[in-house]
Amino acid sequence: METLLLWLVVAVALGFDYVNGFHDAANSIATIVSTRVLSPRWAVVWAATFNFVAFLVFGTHVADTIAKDVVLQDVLSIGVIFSGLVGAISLNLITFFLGLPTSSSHALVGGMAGAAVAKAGTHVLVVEGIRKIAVFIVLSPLLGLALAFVVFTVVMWVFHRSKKVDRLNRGFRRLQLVSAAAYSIGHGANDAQKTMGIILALLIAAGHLPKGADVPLWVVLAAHTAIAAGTLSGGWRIVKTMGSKITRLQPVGGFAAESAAAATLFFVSASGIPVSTTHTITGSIIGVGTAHRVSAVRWGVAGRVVWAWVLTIPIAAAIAAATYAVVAAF
Amino acid sequence: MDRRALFFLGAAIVSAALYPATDAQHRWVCVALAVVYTVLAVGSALDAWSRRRRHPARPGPRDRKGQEAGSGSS
Repeated sequence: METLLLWLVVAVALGFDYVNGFHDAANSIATIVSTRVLSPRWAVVWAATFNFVAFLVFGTHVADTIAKDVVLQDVLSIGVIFSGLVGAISLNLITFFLGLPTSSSHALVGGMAGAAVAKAGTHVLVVEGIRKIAVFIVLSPLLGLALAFVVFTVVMWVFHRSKKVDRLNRGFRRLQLVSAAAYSIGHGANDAQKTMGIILALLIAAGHLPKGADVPLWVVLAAHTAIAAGTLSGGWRIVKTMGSKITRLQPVGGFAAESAAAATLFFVSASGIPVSTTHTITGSIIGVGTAHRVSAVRWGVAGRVVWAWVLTIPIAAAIAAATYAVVAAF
Repeated sequence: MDRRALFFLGAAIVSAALYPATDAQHRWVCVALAVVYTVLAVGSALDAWSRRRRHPARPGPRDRKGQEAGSGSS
């Protein structure tokens, strides 16, 4: 019975990863679709390929942080992890309908923390790990914003005297393929690893792996396959909508935003810090907008991101704690 | 003061404020961001100042109406 439950929760975790790929595909390819570098269908194939390739580039530091640096491993059980996942998924659904750009990563951290506290009290929280994650909730968009501003300003300064605008645009359209691929690698590396961390914690909790074990290869491949399949299967519909709704970015702006976000995600993934890929690319796009003029930025979106920072972890934690109370009753 | 400069100044203050909460290994990120945003704030303020000097503010539509009304009555 316990083995069946374990595999059910593994399937829920992989489903969470699949939806993440489905939902976040638009972030990595909306700009190459809106600038008509690739058709929506080929753009999702491009993103899904690099989502999957990410496992060859980065280690599993983010997965280790999720599995070992949020709550003490002794308190983890199938019930705790299931409740944490329910908290994260519920919050994602609620905020999806409210139109708030929340982060599934922060929801996962909040969910796991809430369920663990409901089981054993606040002493099971790994304060250092949670503090590191909380600090980078704010730092990662700021890092993306500053990098995008600097990249965009430098590129414009270097090429502002060029009279061959068409040739320049063609060049940056090709470069956007590289920047979108880099962003997809960053997205795959950071977001797929969160699911790996959850499954690693589950396998340790169920006694299938010893404490301190590394992520098994099948977990790495399953998580990357799930996120790539999500991107491939449904992302293009969202991309099509976004490509026509978002402000029309010039190829140079898209290139600057994606490169800056990719650089930020590479850095945090290599450092083992789970961050919101959505907030990072939002920060980078704001950076490009600010380089034009402040009024070019939709500050309402930036304000909603700040609200999402404040609300995500406590609300996901509360839902997970309530779910654990129900699970424990059975 | 220029809105962009104010925004960058705010970002510099937030980055600096996060320094004590950041783990020792990553504190350089806070320092680097605070420095970059301060430089961007100063640069933006200077840019806005030089633009104002080159192109002094034109009277807005309301001011123009007022001026026209004033000149019509005299």
